Amino acid sequence: MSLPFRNSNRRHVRSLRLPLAVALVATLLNTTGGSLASAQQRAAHYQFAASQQPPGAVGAARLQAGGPVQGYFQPVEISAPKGMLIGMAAQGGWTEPVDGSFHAGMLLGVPYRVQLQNLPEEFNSRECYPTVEIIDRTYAPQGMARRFPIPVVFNEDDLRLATKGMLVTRVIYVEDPQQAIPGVQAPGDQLWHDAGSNANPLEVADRLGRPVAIVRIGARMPDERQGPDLQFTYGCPPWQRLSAPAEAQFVPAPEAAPIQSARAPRAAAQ
Amino acid sequence: MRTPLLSTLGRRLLALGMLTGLLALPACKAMPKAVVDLVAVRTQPAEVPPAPPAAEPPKSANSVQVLGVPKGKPVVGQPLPVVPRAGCEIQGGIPVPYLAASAWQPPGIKGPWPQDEFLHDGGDAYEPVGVSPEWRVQGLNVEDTVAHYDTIDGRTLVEPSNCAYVYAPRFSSVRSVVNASSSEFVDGPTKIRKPERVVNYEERTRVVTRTEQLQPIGQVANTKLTVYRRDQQSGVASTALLAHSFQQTFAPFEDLAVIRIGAMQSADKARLAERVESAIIWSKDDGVKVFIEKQSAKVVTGDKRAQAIYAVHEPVDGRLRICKIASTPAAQPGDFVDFTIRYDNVGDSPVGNIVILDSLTTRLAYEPDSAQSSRKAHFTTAHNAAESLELRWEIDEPLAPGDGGLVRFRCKVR
Repeated sequence: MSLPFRNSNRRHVRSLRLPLAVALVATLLNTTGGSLASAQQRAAHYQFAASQQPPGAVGAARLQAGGPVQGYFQPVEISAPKGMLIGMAAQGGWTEPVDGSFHAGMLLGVPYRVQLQNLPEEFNSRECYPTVEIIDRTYAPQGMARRFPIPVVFNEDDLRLATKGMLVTRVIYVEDPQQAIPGVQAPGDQLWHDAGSNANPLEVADRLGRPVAIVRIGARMPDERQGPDLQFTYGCPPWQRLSAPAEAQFVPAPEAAPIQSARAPRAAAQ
Repeated sequence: MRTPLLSTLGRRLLALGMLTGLLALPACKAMPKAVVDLVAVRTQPAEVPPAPPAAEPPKSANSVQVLGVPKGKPVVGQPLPVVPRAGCEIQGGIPVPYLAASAWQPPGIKGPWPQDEFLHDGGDAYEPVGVSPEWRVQGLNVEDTVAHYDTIDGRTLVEPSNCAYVYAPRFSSVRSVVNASSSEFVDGPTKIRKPERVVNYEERTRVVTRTEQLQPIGQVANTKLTVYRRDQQSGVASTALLAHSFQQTFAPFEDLAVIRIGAMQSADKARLAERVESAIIWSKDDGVKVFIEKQSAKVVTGDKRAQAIYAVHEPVDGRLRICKIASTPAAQPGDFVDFTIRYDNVGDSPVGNIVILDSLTTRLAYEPDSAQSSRKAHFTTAHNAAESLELRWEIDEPLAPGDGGLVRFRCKVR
C-alpha cells in the first residue's frame, strides 16, 4: 500500500535536488572567491615568498603575475659611503668604478651583481659584491622616471657585517602614505629598520608598503682564475647606463600684475 | 498527471544559486580566465577605441647605452610608447590633450594605479564632514580639505575641494642579518661518526634606535573645533591674516583664470584638462569638479568623469565653490610644495562665517608663517592624527555673490 504523502514528498524532494545543489555550489564559490578577494585586497604582494630565496626567484614570480613589467628598465640609483667605488658587471667584466652614485636601468626579475671597492681598511675585505634584484617597478609620470629612481643605499654597517661572513638582506619598499613614518628623510639617506629575529623581511616590508627591490650583501667573491666568472655575475644581464637627473632649474617669480578683478579684492592701499 | 520538473520553490532556489555564482565569478581566481573576462566585460563600461600611435619622439642628446646586448638587436625596456587619446594633437611627439572626453588611462596599464606613490591633499574622503549646531566639525579625516559656511537662511553647508595630487614616492627598507653556523662531532673509539647537522640559524640583530612602524588601527577620535583656538604653535593663539600681508603676485602654477579671477575661461581648458587627466590617472575615484556659472551646460552622467558641469536654472542661495591646486606635480623628499585654495561665492546671496579646513597628510609638513589670505582671516593650526597639522582659516567678512578670495600655504615633503 503506497502512501500518497510519501510519493508526493518524494517528487517534491526530487524537484529540489537540482536547485539545492546549485545553491550549495554557488555558496562555496562565493565564499572561496570572497576569501581570495579579501586576501588580495590586503595587499599581500608576496604572501608566500621569502627573501632568503635565490636571487631572481622573487622577481621571476612577479613577472609571471603580469602587468607592464616585462622588458621595462626600472631606473635605480646605487649609492655608497663616501670614498667607496661602485661598479657593475657588464659583458663578462666590470665597468669603470665611479665614486658617488651610480644610475642604471635594470630589468625586473634579474639579479645584478654590483662591485664595491675601496672599503675601509678595518673591514675584513676591501671589496664586496652584493646583488640587486628588482621585483617591482614604479609608475612615474611621463618623463619623470629618472628623477625618481629606486634608491639602493649601502652603508658601512651592512658592509662590515657582510665582510665578517654574515648575509645581510635588505628589502626596499615604497612607503604607504597612510602608514608613513613622520620622520624627515634627508637627501641620500633612507629610513630603515630591522625586521627582527626569525622574521621574513619581505613579509614585513609587504605589510608596510610595496616591496620593489631586494639587496643581498654577503662575503662571496668571484673566482676569476680561469676567466670571467659568469655564474657569479648571473650571465651579465643587460642593463642601461643612465645619467644623473639634472637638478630642477630655478624659475624666478614672474613680474605679474597685481590683482585687479571684480571677483577678488584689490590690493590694499599702502 | 505529469508533475512539473521544478516546483516554484525549486525554481526560486535555482535562480538564487545562479545569481550568487555569477557574482562570485570575478572574485574567484580558480575560474577560467575566459569566464572571468566575460563577466568583467559585461560589467565595465565601453572602452575608448585605441588611438593611432604617436609620432616617434626626437632623439635627445642623452641617449642611453645598453650594456650586454648585441648590436643590432632592438633595445627593449624603453618607456612605454605614448598613445594619444582620440582627439589629441601631437606636438613634437608629446601628445597635448585638450579635452577630457572620457576617463583615460595609459595603454597597457590597468587600473587602479598604485596610489602609494602619490600624495593626496584635498577632497572629502571616507566619512563626509559635518558641522554640528555647536560649530563642531566632525568627520574631518587626514587629507581632507573642506570649507563650511552659513547661508542667509541659517543653514551651515560643507563644500569639499578637489583633490590635489603630488607624485612623491618615498622608499624605506627592512633589514635582516643572518649568520649560518654548523658544527661536527666525531666519536673516536667506536669509529662511529655522528655529524651534527645545522639545526637553526643564528641571527644577529643590531640594536638600533629606529622604531618599527605599526599599522594604524584607525581614527579613534575626532578633533573638535573648540581646541582650535587653544592649540597653538609656539605660543601663538591665532594668527590674524590681513589682506596687506597677502602676496599680490601670482606664481606660475596659479596662472589660471579660475584662480586669478574665479571664472572659467576657454584658454585654460587645455591646462586644466591636463591636471584633470592627471587626477584621473592617479585616482579612479576622485575627480576635479568645475562649475561654470550662468552658462547652459550639458549634464554628464556616470561614475568616472573628469568634470561635472551643472546647469543653473533658478536663483539659488549662496553657494561656495572651493578649488585647490599645487605648485608642482612631482616632488622629492625635502622639496617644498605651495598650495593655493581659491574660494568663490557662486550663488545669488551672500554667505558668511566661512571656514576653510585643511588636514595635511603625514608626508606634508606645514612651513611656519607661510599661510596667506587675500581677505582678512584668522589662521590657526592644530595637530591631527597623522602627526601633521590641521590648518584653519576663518574668513572675517561675509562674501557677496561673485566675490572670492585666495589662501596659500607652503609644505615641505617629508
